[in-house]
Amino acid sequence: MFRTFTFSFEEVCPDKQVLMGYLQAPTEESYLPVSGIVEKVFSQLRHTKEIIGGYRILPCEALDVKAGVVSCSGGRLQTGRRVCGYMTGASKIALFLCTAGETFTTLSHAYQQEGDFLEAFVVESIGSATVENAMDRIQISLGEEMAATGEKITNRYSPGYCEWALSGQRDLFACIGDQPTGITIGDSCLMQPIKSVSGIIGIGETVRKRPYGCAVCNSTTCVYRNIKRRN
Amino acid sequence: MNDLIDKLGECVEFGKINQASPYPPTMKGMPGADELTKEALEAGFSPQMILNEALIPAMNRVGNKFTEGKIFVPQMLLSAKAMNSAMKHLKPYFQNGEIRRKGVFIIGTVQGDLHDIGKNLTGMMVEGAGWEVIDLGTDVSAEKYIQALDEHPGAVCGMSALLTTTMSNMQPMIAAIREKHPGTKVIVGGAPLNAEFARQIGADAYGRDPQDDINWLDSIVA
Repeated sequence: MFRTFTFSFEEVCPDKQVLMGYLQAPTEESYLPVSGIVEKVFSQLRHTKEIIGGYRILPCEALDVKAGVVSCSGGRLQTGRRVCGYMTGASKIALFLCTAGETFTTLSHAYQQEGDFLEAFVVESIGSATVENAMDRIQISLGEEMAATGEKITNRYSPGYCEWALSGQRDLFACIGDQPTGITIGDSCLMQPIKSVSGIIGIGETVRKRPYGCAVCNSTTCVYRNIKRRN
Repeated sequence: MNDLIDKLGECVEFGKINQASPYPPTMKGMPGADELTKEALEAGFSPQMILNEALIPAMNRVGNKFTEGKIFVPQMLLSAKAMNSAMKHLKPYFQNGEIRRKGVFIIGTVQGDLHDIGKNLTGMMVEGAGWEVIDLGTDVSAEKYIQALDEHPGAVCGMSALLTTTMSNMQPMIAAIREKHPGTKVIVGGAPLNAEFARQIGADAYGRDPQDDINWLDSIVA
């Protein structure tokens, strides 16, 4: 069974101050034009009601860390060694999907067509932050639900990151089966709508929540790392 | 004589799009890149001079400031929009051949990857540096590059990737492109890449940021 959550934009929209940092507009000079655009875009997105996500919990039947394979009752996930290793101790796995919907992409494209690149950048950034916020809420809910039975959850990991090949989306979607989010994958295994996330969370009494994202990435040239340093 | 050209360059550098644009506050109410380009053409400046003396140097300054961490993505995007507002007046001269471009640059985000902020910024900056840019978008296959090269023989290709899992698509793509179009020059970029990786996969160059791309592109046509 796929447990579904829906959100309004106001429930999961990014905090504006955090967003300004993410948009690289922390200084007064860059803040002025960006803040006006953020306000305008927020009002355009206010009535967005397509934010939907959730997860399916499956028994974790075996972990082959050397081969990087997680076996569950729904099939096999070739996650790679790193993500498979992070599942150590999991008795169950939650396979998740979440989308902010098509609105963000449609609005961004409309701005780009008009040559309003900054507006398009703001919309894209809000869309990315919104789907992550929605997924944070879902992950928190899952954690609370599992804590009630004495179980913990891992961090969340997605195909395309941490050595988990993007082609892993096919097995992931097959294991999830029917779901109401409307998210689909194309030939390149990319999701539609674009502002969507998918992946795995381990569940068990002894699993550990390890650092993720920038904390485990070695890139020295990444723009996001530079933002974090400045802030 | 060059006061108008200098002012136009400043408008592009600081993102002053047109007179109605409130940004930057210090230039509020003043004519922007839109009005000044029109004025420069009416005053008899050649379109090539406007491009070479005002717009390209301004975008170069923008690129250098971004490289040095003095400005960020928003200012760069405002400058790109100001540049575009100037370029719309020059478009007829590109079409009738009065303005010569440095070359054609075909850019895209590699197959399996949708991240396009870096790619878009690079495309805008390279265009501002005097190149014709063909943007193939995201999730671009080798076939799409080949098709674009069929239409623009001799063009230079740029490839972007943000994921470690998609940067590995670059090597087979470069090989496929060169099989159909031998000698095609390719520059790669993206957060997880470095110069060593670019060398290993057979790319001609690695662009750390947009200005790096421009410097290399200009060097191969110099």
